[in-house]
Amino acid sequence: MRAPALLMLCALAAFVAEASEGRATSDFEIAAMNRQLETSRDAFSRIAAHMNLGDLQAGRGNQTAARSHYETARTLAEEEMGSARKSSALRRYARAASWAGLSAAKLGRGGEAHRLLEEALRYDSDSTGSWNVYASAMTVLEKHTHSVAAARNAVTIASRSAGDSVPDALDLNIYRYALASALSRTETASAGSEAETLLGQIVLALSDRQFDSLRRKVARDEQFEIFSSTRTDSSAYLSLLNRTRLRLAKIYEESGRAEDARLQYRAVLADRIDDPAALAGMARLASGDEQHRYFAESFDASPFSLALVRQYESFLSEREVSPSTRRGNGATVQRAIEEASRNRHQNALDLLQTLEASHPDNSTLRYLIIRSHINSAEFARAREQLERRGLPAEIAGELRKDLALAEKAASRVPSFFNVARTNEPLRLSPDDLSLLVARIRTGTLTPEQLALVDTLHFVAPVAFEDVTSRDAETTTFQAGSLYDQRFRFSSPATFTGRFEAGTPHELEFQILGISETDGRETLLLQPWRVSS
Amino acid sequence: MINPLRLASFAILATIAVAELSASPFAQSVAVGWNRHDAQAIVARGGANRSIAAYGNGGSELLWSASGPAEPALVVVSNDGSRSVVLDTINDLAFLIATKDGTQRRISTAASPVAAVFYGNELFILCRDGRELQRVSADGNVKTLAVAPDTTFMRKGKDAIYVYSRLEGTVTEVDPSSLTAVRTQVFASAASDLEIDGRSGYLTIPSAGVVIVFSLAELKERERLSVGTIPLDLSVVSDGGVLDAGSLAVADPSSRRVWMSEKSQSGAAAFGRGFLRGLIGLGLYAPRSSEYPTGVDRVWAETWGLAAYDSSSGTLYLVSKGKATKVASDVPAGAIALTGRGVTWWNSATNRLELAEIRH
Repeated sequence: MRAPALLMLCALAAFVAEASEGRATSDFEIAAMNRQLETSRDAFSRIAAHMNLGDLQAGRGNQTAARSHYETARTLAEEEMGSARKSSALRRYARAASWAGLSAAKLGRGGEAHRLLEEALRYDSDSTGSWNVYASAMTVLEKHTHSVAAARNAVTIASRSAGDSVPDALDLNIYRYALASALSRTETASAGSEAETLLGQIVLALSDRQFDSLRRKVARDEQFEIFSSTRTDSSAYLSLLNRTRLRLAKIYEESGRAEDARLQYRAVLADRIDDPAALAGMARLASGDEQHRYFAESFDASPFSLALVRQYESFLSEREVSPSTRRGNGATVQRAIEEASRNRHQNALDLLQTLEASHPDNSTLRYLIIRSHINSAEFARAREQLERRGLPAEIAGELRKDLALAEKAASRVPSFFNVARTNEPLRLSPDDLSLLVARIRTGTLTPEQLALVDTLHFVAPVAFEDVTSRDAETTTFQAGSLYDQRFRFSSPATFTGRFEAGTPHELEFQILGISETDGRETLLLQPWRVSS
Repeated sequence: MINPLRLASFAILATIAVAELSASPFAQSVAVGWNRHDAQAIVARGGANRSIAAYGNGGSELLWSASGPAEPALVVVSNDGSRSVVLDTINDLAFLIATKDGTQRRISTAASPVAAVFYGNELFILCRDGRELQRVSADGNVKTLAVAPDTTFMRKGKDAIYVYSRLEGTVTEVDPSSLTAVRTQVFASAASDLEIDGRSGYLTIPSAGVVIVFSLAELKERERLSVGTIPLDLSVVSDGGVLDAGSLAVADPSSRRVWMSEKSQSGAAAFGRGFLRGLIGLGLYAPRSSEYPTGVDRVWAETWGLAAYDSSSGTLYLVSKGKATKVASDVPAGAIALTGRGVTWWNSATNRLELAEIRH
């Protein structure tokens, strides 16, 4: 049927779908795959090396390099199809068609991928490898029902024919993993439960004494590299255990079982201390300084992981951090995100553009740069960057949507610019406040509008922060929040009456501008009166 | 503008220039069906130009064009020519078309609609990954029957529909009126093709190098024919009569031949005629077992002869009197349909429907 090494190589394609989660301490893996390319003449080893390199580069945000590797893999696989047919090696033809299909899926060519994968199955429908690659490709194409069906077929066939050997046991668990991975994406409760059961079974199975020799080999060779496609049993074992634990941890995390998730993440980190996905997981589950430390380590391990960037942005939206002072690519990306979260988009841009000079095709950097342009109302520059090739379609689509929304918002002006002025203070709505702040921030108010804002008195509900001082008849405050926007007065303001911090009060005020306090964007207000 | 290729004779056919396309056959998203009743081609094209169109007058005249699926995989036309269905397997869609004017109804199917047949007024769609056989009534009502995993092939019999699961190796006879599984029989897993004629069913088992012949009446295996090295695709050439069993054409890419085989024979007769794998390459009925430079893995039989096809290169051959002639290359498998007198296919390089016919 199939040489064991190639079986593993086929089988572990199931891991590819997760490569984009960010494997970026990936220098070792990249070096190993480049060595494989240099030393191997076998077509499937070369195809697998290019697929691995594509995944590794995609995980680092280097989409152009990733596509180039996938294209090369696609070409090699097609050549292998022709060569196999000429020599009437039809299982080899089917295997090459599978790989051509997977590489086409990676390139986003769903129809072509599907036709190639079906061709492989027409020749070799009892091949676990063909079904496994099929499942992986369907996961890449987000056809999860198709992926589950294909992965289930692989498990069924492998269960029927599995012997007691280590490679057989490893294969079966690889197919179980692919099934669990596909199930966990279908978002039904029963599928999630089945996925968790399968993953638990795999972890248990891999701890069996049967795999002692593989564990010894991993330890003896000091192996730690994780690949999407592997050639040896020990490498397959290591990668399978890593991915199974990560996926299991994610399931635990999403279902609120934080301690179980931590256990799995810690187990991953015990094998590899800089695993970025495990570090990011630990960061999500940690609090305070520990959380920030894990994020920092995760960025050091995987500077350009978009998944990590999004997690960190989410983290910053809920809390303040002191600026990162470390050096290196990860720290710079982290600092840029922190600057952007404080609406200091020009600072963020400066940092990102410095990095872009040495990583010109990095899609994560481009994503962040375009976002900074959009948030700075530099729409033409954002569009110019968007028109450059190389951004993954889903990211480009997301940015185009953001750009359209920002342009639409920028074309609107606060409603108070269009109403007749009276002596009464204007009630400031959250929408008007948001529009005004955005225009002040981006410097897009006309001189006439600026002059008008200087004269207007507004009224809106506020909540004061801590009482600065108080006596029997007065209360003094200096800061608070207006809707979601933090504000402060230029100096402490004393109001007649007893007012409490944290409860809503009506404040009449003028807007003086935007400043920064403790690294946060803050409205500067001139207070006039307050009422309960 | 359609410029059908009409061939006055097979001899002329052999001299025509073959259209060379640039795209790999697997990269082209196109499916073609032939409406025998009205001699029309139904062409579904995906990608940027996604459309479904009908070409009449033997394929030379555009009759109508309508929107179509992103990835058409298969076109099936009803026997009376009034309806067609275009399946988009990867996107789980079926487009049911009124052939006269292109009026269409879009049906969301279960996962992976891989085969369809019209049976009376109803349409049956086999959804492999959804493990369902769906029956779509004329009023749009959909009923389903659960099927075994990896049920990939479906054939229409006189009074029944037959489906085959590659994973379980089972053929199930389905009563179309009640949509129930009447009986199921295990034959062998991993067949690459299922065909039926009036009395028998045939499963090609490439890994075993055999064609399993089974009785439709009893749903029981009748015999196993050893044909070639890796029999991958099969077509019934003739039903046979009182004195002969009829014949099958079997595509064997490993031997680079299409084997012509009697449909049924005793073991002794098979041995005597060289149906054993040990005689691979010698050919059966040598003059009629055509050889192909790249091997062929699909074959279609018609009264006028055979069409054979190599998926890896997209090369299409016509076979008559035991001689194969290449008529096109880089054609995707789904873009080929048999007409009453030859084959038609969509040429993606020229965006034209081509037609090659044999006139003896």
